[in-house]
Amino acid sequence: MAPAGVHGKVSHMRTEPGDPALAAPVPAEATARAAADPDVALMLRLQAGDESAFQDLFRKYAPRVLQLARRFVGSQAQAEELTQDVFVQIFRFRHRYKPQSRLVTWVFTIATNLCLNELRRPERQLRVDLWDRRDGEDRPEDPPLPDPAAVTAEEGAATRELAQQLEAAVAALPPKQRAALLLSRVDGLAYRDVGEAIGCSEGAVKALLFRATQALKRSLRDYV
Amino acid sequence: MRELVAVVLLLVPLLASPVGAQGWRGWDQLSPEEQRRAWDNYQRYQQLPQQRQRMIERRYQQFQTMPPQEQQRLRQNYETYRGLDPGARHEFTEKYRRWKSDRH
Amino acid sequence: MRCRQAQRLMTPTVDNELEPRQQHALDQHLTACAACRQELAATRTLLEVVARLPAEMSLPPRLEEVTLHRMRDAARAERSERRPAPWWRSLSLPALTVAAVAVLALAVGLRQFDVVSTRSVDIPGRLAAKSGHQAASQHQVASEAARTRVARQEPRRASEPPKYPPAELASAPDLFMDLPILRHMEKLEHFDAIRTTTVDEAPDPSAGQQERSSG
Repeated sequence: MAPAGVHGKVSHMRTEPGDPALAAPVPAEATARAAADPDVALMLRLQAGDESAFQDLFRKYAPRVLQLARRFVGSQAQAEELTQDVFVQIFRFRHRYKPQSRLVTWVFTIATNLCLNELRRPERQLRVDLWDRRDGEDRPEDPPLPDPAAVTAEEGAATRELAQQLEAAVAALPPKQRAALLLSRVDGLAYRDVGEAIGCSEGAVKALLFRATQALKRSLRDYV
Repeated sequence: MRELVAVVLLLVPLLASPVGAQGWRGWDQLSPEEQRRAWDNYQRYQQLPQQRQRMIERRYQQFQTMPPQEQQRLRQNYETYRGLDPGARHEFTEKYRRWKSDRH
Repeated sequence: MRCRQAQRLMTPTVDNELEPRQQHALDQHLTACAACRQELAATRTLLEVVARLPAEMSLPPRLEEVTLHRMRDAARAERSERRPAPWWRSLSLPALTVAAVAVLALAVGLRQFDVVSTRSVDIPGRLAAKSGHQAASQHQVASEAARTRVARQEPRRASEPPKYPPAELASAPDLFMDLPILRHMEKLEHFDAIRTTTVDEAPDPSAGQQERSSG
């Protein structure tokens, strides 16, 4: 059932005859982009109804989405639920994805939007507690990654302390400054893509980053 | 006459449209009037610049995750807004601009 | 270029996001300003540390399974709404009633046609053909009349929605139903606060961020 030119096993997501999602053949341009960009091929497979494409997409981007979400919401459980929401939205909006857009920008646009929205709704019923925790418990945070450039144990410890202080300083930033900083510096998005994800101009992104770095410099005066 | 009544009675139950279990309704679950409204708005949406389309999609994602009572509040506010006469609408727009500049 | 302006360009220059003209102006300022050179070094160090924050988090064992389950629910919901509705679902009750009447009228008309056809067997040659043709014409007129009655009950609209909407519309019809609300969302969210805002004083033009209005 996959459109011509798109390779991939179609499984599980049954399609109906006359399914409008499959009615139109994949344009030649999209097929060419799919050959050049694995993310485009992935999305075309998803649009064609290939469930394994959804799994591939999830495995590729969920670790990053989860980390971003964790830096916006108060608990690990909320971050995990938000991550689910992001991928369900990606599925529901899959037909809106255009091969001309970068998939990573599109994923982070949806993720950032839901993260910023979540901050307006601190009270939220969790659907499933994946860790079967009791009320009040939380999963211990992942330890910060060791600094590969550290020569001595003391230097490694200092770097870890800095990383913890930095996480706290980032968490204290206003949401849009936090989003701009994380998306550009941690997730490597260009300013234009950060603007698209947050919903503002490139000039506004620069202004957000300026305020964010000024705030971090003040918080980490003793470390940097 | 009896045949006519029988035909009508047979057809009436088939006009019911069930609502989706999670509150989200698919195309086929919309009434004809709702489908027309959605179709008209879809055509208007296609005319918007891409950036504006994306802004609306972002807002849709936000709206979807709101609690039902919050969604209802916005719908009620929209009905009130729609009912404003031109003078009141103009005054509201002025107040909105002032509110926005105070906020930022 | 003043130092304050130069400071605003430091993060973009570290990220290689400056336009050539701005980069040139900043470089010129830095050659003359030791304080800004120091500030740039601090900015670079800070951003390097930020870049080393973990970008990924390990996934809990069930997260993929739960997400897949929700995706399948969404797919099932889509399939149930894509199944084409029977053609008569698009008619309103009055139109259905009229259609039912038309069907009955047709049934009665056909019965009469059968009677006429039976009678015509006894009339030889052309006469038989002519009366059969007349009966067929009468049947055609009756059908045409029935169709006209139905058409008059349902006036044509400028743009009828398609039976199979485009995927973008089918995947989120509520987005398009609620389009006016989404367009005015900020106003509607803060409706009461806006209504109580006073507009006696002119707004301060120097206040506010550079963010584009989201309207």
